[in-house]
Amino acid sequence: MKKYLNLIFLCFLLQTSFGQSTDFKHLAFSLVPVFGNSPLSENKWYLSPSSDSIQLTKLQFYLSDIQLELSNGEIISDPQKAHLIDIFEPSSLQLAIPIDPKNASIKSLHFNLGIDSTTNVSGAQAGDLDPVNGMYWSWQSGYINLKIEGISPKCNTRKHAFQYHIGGYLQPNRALRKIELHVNTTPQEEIFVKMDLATFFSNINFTTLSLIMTPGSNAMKLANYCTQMFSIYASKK
Amino acid sequence: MHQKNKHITILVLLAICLLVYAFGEVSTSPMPLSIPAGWPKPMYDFSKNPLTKEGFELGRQLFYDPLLSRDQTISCTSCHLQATGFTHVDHELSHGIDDKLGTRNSMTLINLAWSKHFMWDGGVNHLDVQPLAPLNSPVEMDESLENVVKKLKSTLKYRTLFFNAFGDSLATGQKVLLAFSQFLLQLQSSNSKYDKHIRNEEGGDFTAQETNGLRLFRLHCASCHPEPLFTTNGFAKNGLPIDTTLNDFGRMQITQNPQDSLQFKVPTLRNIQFTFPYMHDGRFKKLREVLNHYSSSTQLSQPIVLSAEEKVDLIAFLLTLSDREFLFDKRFGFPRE
Repeated sequence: MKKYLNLIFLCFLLQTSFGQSTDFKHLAFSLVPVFGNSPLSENKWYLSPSSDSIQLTKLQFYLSDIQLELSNGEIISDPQKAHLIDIFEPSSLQLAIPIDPKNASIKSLHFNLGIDSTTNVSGAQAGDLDPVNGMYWSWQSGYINLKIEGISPKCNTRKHAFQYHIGGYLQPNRALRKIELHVNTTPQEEIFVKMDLATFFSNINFTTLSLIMTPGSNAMKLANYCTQMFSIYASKK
Repeated sequence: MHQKNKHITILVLLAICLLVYAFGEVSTSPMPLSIPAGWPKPMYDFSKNPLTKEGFELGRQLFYDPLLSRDQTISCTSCHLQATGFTHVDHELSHGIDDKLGTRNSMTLINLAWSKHFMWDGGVNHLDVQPLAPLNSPVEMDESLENVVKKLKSTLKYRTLFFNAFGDSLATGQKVLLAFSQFLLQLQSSNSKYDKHIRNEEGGDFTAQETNGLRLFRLHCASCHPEPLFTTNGFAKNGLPIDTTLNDFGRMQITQNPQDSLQFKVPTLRNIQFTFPYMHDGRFKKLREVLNHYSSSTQLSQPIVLSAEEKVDLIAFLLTLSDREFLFDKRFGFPRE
């Protein structure tokens, strides 16, 4: 009996010590938003490659199913299903993926831009996926994968605003995009992923495309442009 | 000896810790649906939101609370009244905040555990996220989930209710939605005269007219409104000409597929006696008008052939789908404290 109780006690101690453990290693992964050669800031004017003046007021999106592919073929998956990124909220640009520092080097980084179909039809979710975050359509269920909002004098809209809410999980308008980036780094290094808005806006014609807020062929086009934004900036210790 | 005392002290401390741990957890009472024999398996995945009395009670309070709307005037029951099968009677188009009119007749809330798509156009893909539609609609509640959560967090009553249901007094968007589902899933209607007839129970004796009505129903109506739910929970084109003041193309607005033009969700016929007016835009006030449409429409591939007497018998049968136990079940009513 006494032995049994001692065992429970031991389990209790072990549980509390592990619960508080911060010993686990993480691979740091940061997003670096830029517009061409300039760092990206809110409410600042930029000139796009197609000579449009642009100011960004909102840039939010989901990164989901983050995976690291190691040089030995092993895959390490981020335990958190999805992260809601707000480009103008610096803390949300820092991600950390639990990894054993003794692991082989990292060959590539995979993630989804947006939320997969299964999650889209699975009802009320918590945390970053809680519809309370405003990244959810109510009249037609589904996550908004990405919101880009701002102004450009070329827009023939109220206050010259453009608003892109990109989403849709049903074929043929499934707006989720898979991104794969080759990194070649060690688990001890930090990965910096550049997100260049200039490449996105080089595709945009504001006179014909300034308000997109429903799933469909335009959203699909915009989703394709989004994939071109991401590249490995640098990785360093 | 000294060592032994020390051990005892540790054990006593441990026991106290365990007790605190055990009582710190909230205990909820399970409240599973009692699914009638012969009914299909529900669509809802209860494993992700196990039904409890406490969750149901929270959902019920939310359902009847105008706090959900922008100016605290509209609650769910404004358009979903229990006594009329949880729908809005006597209005072709349901109205919401500031007396604004919507574009459709509100749907009933009956046996939702079996439904996969919600709304007349099926735009909502899961019961959990259904409340978001009226909440955000500028002509219904004109409110955001974010703001509702804020209001709930600052209300003592809800802090208690959330703690009882989820072991955490702080509302989140997810918990609000799960609580709504807890209430809505319990709205099960399965005790009509028809059900008693099928189960050979007291009160289930059909008249000759009702028996003939059931026969005609099975012959002409059951392909879209199969028993026991009286809906396929799918979509269908019912031959109604478009109302050019609304230009509502139904399912196509969601799928953008021209094949889905004028397809609307097939509603259940349970409690149909009380859910008038009928059709997605409430264009028919009487069941007789509905049957006249189905027997005369030129837009249907096969209009139903029914004599005047047969229509009367069919309506007699439809009235056996009224479930007064459901319509007056105090558990589903306005929560009086």
